[in-house]
Parts: sequence; C-alpha cells; structure tokens
Amino acid sequence: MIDRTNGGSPPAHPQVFHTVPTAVIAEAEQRDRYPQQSELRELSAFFSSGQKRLEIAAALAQNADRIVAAGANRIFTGGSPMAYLERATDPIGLPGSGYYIGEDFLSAKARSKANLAQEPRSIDPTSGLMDWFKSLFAQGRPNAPSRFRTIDISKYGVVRMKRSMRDLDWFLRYTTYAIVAGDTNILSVNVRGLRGVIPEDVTLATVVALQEMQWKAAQYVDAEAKALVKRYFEVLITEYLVEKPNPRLRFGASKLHPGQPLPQSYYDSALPTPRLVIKPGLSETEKQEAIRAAYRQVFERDVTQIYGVALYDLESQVKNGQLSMKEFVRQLGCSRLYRREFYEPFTISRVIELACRHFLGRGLSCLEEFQTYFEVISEGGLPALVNALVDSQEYADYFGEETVPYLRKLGLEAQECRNWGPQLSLFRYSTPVRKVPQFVTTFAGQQRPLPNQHPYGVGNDPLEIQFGAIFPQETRHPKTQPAHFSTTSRRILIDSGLHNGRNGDRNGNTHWGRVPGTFGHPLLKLEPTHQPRRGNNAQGPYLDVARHSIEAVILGTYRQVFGRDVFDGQRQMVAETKLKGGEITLREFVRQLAKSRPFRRLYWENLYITKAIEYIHRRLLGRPTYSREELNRYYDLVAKQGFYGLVDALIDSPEYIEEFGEDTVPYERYLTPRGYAMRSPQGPLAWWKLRDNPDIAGDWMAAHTPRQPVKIRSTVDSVVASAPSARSAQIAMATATSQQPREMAQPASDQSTRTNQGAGSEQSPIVAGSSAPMSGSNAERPSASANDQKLPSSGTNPS
Amino acid sequence: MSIITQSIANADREARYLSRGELNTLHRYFERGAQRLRIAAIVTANIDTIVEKGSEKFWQRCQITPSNSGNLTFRSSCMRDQGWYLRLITYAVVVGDIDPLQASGIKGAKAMYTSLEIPLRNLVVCMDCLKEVTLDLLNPEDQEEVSPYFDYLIQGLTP
Repeated sequence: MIDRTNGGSPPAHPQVFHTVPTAVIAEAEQRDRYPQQSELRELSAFFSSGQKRLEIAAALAQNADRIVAAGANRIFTGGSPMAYLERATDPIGLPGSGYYIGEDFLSAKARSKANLAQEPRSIDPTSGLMDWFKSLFAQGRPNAPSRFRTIDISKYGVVRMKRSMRDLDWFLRYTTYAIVAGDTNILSVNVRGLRGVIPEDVTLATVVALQEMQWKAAQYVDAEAKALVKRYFEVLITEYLVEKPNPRLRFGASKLHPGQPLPQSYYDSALPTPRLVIKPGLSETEKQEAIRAAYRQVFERDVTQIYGVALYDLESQVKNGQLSMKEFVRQLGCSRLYRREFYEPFTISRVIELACRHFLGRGLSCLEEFQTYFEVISEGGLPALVNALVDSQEYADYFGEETVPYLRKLGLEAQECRNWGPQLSLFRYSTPVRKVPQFVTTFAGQQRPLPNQHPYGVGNDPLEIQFGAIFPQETRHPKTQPAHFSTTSRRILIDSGLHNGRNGDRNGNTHWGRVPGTFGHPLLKLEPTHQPRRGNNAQGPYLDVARHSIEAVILGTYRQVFGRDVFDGQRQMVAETKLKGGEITLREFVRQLAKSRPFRRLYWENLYITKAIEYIHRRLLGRPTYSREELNRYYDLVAKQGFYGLVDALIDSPEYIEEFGEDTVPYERYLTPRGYAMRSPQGPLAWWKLRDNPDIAGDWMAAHTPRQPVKIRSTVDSVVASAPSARSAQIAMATATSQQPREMAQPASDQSTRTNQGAGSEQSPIVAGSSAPMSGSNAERPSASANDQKLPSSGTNPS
Repeated sequence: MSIITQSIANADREARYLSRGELNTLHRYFERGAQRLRIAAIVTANIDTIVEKGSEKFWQRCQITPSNSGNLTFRSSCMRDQGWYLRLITYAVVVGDIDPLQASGIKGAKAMYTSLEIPLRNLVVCMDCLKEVTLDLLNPEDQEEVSPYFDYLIQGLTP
C-alpha cells in the first residue's frame, strides 16, 4: 500500500507546560469570556512579582556550578564529581537538534578532542574553602538520614556518573524555569515519577543531593527570596518521590483499535481545560455556562436568539434536572438547527466526520468505523447516527451522563498517528466550512492503485501519458481524485478509414480532418491481388496506387513500426522480398521488423522497462496500455521471456488479430485530448493559448488544405434562396475567397440557424468525444468553427 | 504560548539556563505587565461601546455589506464577531504573544468567511474601524502597545 497523499498534516507543537498567563487565557478562551477580575488580580500579582523571580533565576543560573557541585559533593566521594558534568554549550549533537551524535560513534580523533575540551571543571580551591567555612556556620543545613551511604565515584562508573551529574544540573535548570514561569507545572511535567525510572538504589542519594542543593541555592538569594526557592525545591522533591505514574489509557474506539497508553506527564502538561458538568446542586450561572459549552461543542458556536431556535424548553428542562446532559446533547443533535447546519449542506461522509467531532470529541478513527456509521446513517438517517454516537460505549466512558462533551485534543489524550493531520485539522474552528470530507479522502489516498487505474500518476485519463510522469505530485488536491478507467470507458477513436463508405468523400478521405502527428493514411492494407476494394461501389472500381501498391504498404509499415521513415540501411530487405513474394503475411512482416536490430536498439535497449513496453505496445497494437494489470502481465512476460517474447505476445495476441488481421498495417487507434495537444504545432503548452492552437482537427484542416470555391458558392446560393431579405450580405459573402472561411461564416450565422444546428451533428467526432478541456476551448467560439466545417457539406445537401 | 513559555521552550530545547538576553526580554515584559492589564481592563469595560462605534464607522465606509443589508441575523453576527476579535486582542495583549490571535482568529478565518460569502475586504475595513475606535480610548503609550496586534490581525485577514 502506498500512501501517496500527504494527509495535510500540520506540524504540531504541543505546549509542554503552562504558565500563569497562558493558563488564565486558556481558561477564559475555553469559556468564551474575558478574564475575570480575580484572574486579573492573579495576573497582576504575577507581573509585580516578576522582577523578583527573574532576579532569583539569574542568581541561580550564575551559581549553577556551585549549587550542583554542592549537591554532588554531598553524595559522591573519591573524586571530583564536577569533572563529569558536561554542559551543553552547543546545541549541535543534542537529541532533538537534528543530528545527534551518540558518544560511542565519535571517531577516535573527535573523542580525544572532546576530552580535551572537557577540562575538569575544578572548583576554585580557595572559594571551596570559603564555602566550607561558611557552611560550618550556616544554619539549617539538611541532615542526611542515617541509612544514607555516600557513593564511590570509581565504583559507580563513568557513564552513570555523567548521567547523575546531568540530572542534577537539569533539576536545577527546571527549577529556574519554574521560578520564572511562576508555576510549578514545569517541574511536575519533567520530574514527576522519575523515581520509577532512576534505579532504586540511588533514590535516597538523589533526595539528599536535592536537599543539599536547596540549602545551597538559598545561600545566593536574599531572605525574601529564600522562601520562594525553598518552596520550588520542595515541589521538586515531592514530585520526584512520586511513584512512577500509571500511563493513562485512551479507550479503544472499536475492536480494531484497542486503546493506546499515554504517559502521565503528557497528560499533566496539557492546558487545564475545565470539564463542565450539569449536576442538580449547581448554581444557575454554572448551569448556564455548561449549557453554553454544550452549544459550543455541538454547534461550534454560541446559539442565541438570532438563530431562531426554540431550544429554551430543553434548556429549562436541563436546569430543572428533568433532562441529563447526555439527553440534552442527543436532543440538540436531533434538532432542526443541527440538521440545517451540519447535515443538509454536506455530503454524507462529511456529516459523519462532523458528527463524530461533535458527539465524541474526536475524528474518525479508521475506515471500518466510518463504514459502520455510514451504514447507520444510510438506514436511519441523521437521528439514527446521533443516537448511535450518543449511546456508544465510548460516549459513556468519556462523558457519562453529566459531562458536557469536549474535544479530545492533542495533550488530552493519545492521538492516533495515522489520522494525525485530519484529526488536528478537524479540530480547527472553521472546519464545517470545508466541504470535502477530510478522512475519507485521506483513506482514499492511502491506496494501492485500483486494478483498473493506471499506475502512472492519477490523471483522469491514463491513456495518454508522459513517460516521465511516474512520480505523481505529492501534494495533490483532494478534488482531483483519479477517475476509474477501463476498457469500456469512452475515448476518442481515430477514424481508421474502415467506415469511409458511410461518411467519407469520393477519395475515401473523411472530412473529419487528419490529426496532426498521426502517421500517413489511416488505413493501409495489403491486397496482393491489387483488386479494388469492395464496399465502395458508389464510386466505381478504382486503384489508388499511392495507397495500395505494395511499396506504399511497406513504407507505411516502417512508418508505423518505427515511428518514422527508416534509412535505407535500416530496411529489412530479406523480409521485404519475402513479403513481396507472398511468402509471409503482413503480420509476419511486422513481427520481423519488430524483432530487427534497429527496432530493438530504438525501443528496447536504451529505455527503462516500463517505457520500452509502453512504446512497443503503442507501435504494435496501436494503443497505450490500459491498466496496471495489463502492465504487470507484460512485466512478467518480459522478465521470463525477454524482448522477443514480448513482441511475439503482442503480435500473436487476439487483439492484434482481431483489429489488424493478417494484412492490415497497424495503425494508431486512440487519441486523447492531451495527446492531441502534445502533438499540436505549439505543443502542450498551447492549451492555454487558444488562438494559436487549432482546437479541432477540422480547424487545422481548414487552415492547411485549399477548398473548392465552387462548393462554397453553392452553399451561399442555397442560403440566399432561403433568406432573400438578407441578399446584400450574401453577395458580399460570395465574393470572399475560400482562404478566409471564418470571415464568411460570421455573417451567415446570423440567419441560418438551421445551418448551425446541422453543424452540431456533423462536427468532428474528435470534438464531440473530447473531454472537458477541449470542449472548454471549443466553447470559446462555437459558431465560427461549426461554420467552417459546415459550409462545404451543406452545399451538397441543401435540404 | 506566551513570551515566557516561548523563551523557556527555546532554552529547554538547547538544555541551557535562560540567557541574559532572554531574562532582559522577560524583565521588560514584567515591567509592562501592569500596563497590559490596564489595557485589557479598559477594552473589556468598553466592549459594547467599541463594537457599536466601530460598526457605525464601518457601515459609513462600507455601505454595501451583508451586515448593513437590514438582515438582523447578519447584523448581530457581525457585531458578535467584532466582539470576539476584540476579546482575542485582549488575550494577546495579556499574554504578550500573537499566539491566541493566530490560533483561533486567523487560521482558517479566511476560508470561513469566504465560504460564508462575506467579502474579506469589508472585514478588513471593519477591523480597521475597530482598531481606530479602540485606539481612541487609549493614551499614546497604550496605543503603541496595542496597535501591533491589530496590525497583525489585519495583515492576517487581508485577502
């Protein structure tokens, strides 16, 4: 399975902790209100104490080495623990910086260099002595419990020493962060439960070290700040001592998706969003707030009088306690307003996505879940879907009877990574605006190409491909999903000349016009007896040497098989002689050409396999490959039997025999608008240059082949006869030359509506069968092109 | 995300203590804390007046707009949205960061208004009026503090 689609995943930067202002704002925002007076007071206290806290943080950061050294010296003996402290000065090499270099992977040279750089950070002996003196007189130095034993550095090992020192430093660092932020949340997110991670035997030592650091840190700040520092270290130690917390589990959405565990710290770091509940004992305002929250969850906005809702009855029932919150949400889902806002404007799959958001607070989890709900909604409509969601086990697990549903966002619980992008994007507030279903398109993008889809790219029409376009654009628009394409799809057929008895002129040329870039005459047929063809009786027997001589057939075959006229040295004289002598059929001749050295060099040796198959297929069968299945078959064939096997398979295929038989030169059978554009004089770019690019083959013909003025005059006469009042205009027209058909056509179109209507049916089939871009360009000047085509033929057929 | 959160997150990513420069920035932020709160309080107290005056001004400048078409629903939703944006501005001012504005005011807002067939240009004009009316209430020092947030909002909504 290839995931070709970028799920539109936005980069998510989860907030890993919160501070006083963010917490206040988040709370206010969640309830859609301004910060309250109490909150403003809290903020104001936070701001006014800010200077003090910054000073403390700065002082601690400045003396970080000493503080850490104090803690370390307390628990380690037999060396200088500070020698093991590596402080990151350079972000490069740290995990998360992009290129993390594990220490074991350093080269010998780099390692010695790194060692040199880490000069043992010895504490200045005098200041150490001073510290020691000071500490003798300082009060309140913590006593270690009697169970505590110091750790010998040499026994402890280098790696563990480094880790321990790093951890001590990090504890201090997080403490300074927390002091700056004015919130202990950072500490709990980063430290909580570390005891369960760090080996059991050093728990006690760590606590002793932390207490020592706490005491030491207090030395560097003034009396007022001492209490603050002490408090944060207390929190640090308490959080450290917490048992390793149990991971929080995300309840499974379905049998296919058992729950996922989420670390406690992940949960702790989430912004505190209040869960609103409706209980009998609550005050009126609290109830009102919960009801508004329910509106915001279900309707994604506050619902007020202006929406013309008669939900007040329900509201009062909720307030009275007659309705539980669950029932209230259900009623909201079944309301007329919900139907109008979230059901009627959208396709069913979008409705399911949105309902999942509104009633379960999450996005769809998997395709299977979507299918379940799709079945529900197709059988019972929207109310059934709402009931299914509200009655689900998941709703009961998360929200129960009382809680207002909420969005289970990033940070609140584990998110499924396979729907990461759509989940987050669904939670953005403007989601109902998006008309394209988010999840279903993503699931559709995780596709293996359908059996009838062409493996290259995902264009609507795989018939005409550009060989370089194997790698589709990664960021495709969800609207341009591939259309299924199969052998039964309608496509443009190039006239093969087989039906020229019906709609061709005397020479067997159809007036559809020749598609520029196709080879020679549509049909070349080897007729050894050189008899005139049957089925052309109206014109009487005749022999067209240019088309039916054996030499012409041979040349035509070369053109078709090689794609061009070959040089004399490349001609297969032996095969030609045999064909002329009637020893081999034309089909055999084609086979020999295809197996010849020049052909092999041209279409096999220099190309990669897919392109080679594609070219040879076009040359010998006259059409591109249809689908992946077909190509797979050829890959298989080529792998097992090689080039000659492929040629044989194509020429012996039932399709070849049915289409071309033994005596017809293969011809190009299909052309798509895109391929047509690629062959047109200006190349594919000329699509947007409508004026330079003849938009139908007939137009192109009109510009390149001279016409017979006699026919045009007869047309004019017939028009004149039918509309004598516009005589002067017709006379003017009659004097026009045949080289300017468009100028003539314009005045005629005023009155001869009959002519125009007829033109529609007799237009080039290339136009009639073309797909959107082509008819789009054609629509620019319909009357002109129609009349170009029309004039000669209507002359012969005045009725 | 506030300015504090941001600098801590940056420092944490590089595993270092807060640098001198960051401490200075925070210092300035704390210094101005009282001022920020005062601005927020002023705006909160005058919310109705601001929205009313702002929409009057808006309708003078843009007479052909859905909210001025006499449709009561359009009218009140327009005023509600103005109040809503004003609230986001106060959040941003308090936090000292554009994050609240960006996260819920600008991302996707264009798409939403376009799909509601509300001309974005008119919306920008409306925000302009709102800005002018708000700034009228404040002293020059406060104006300097608030106007970048309005500018950011207008920039984000400009089609």
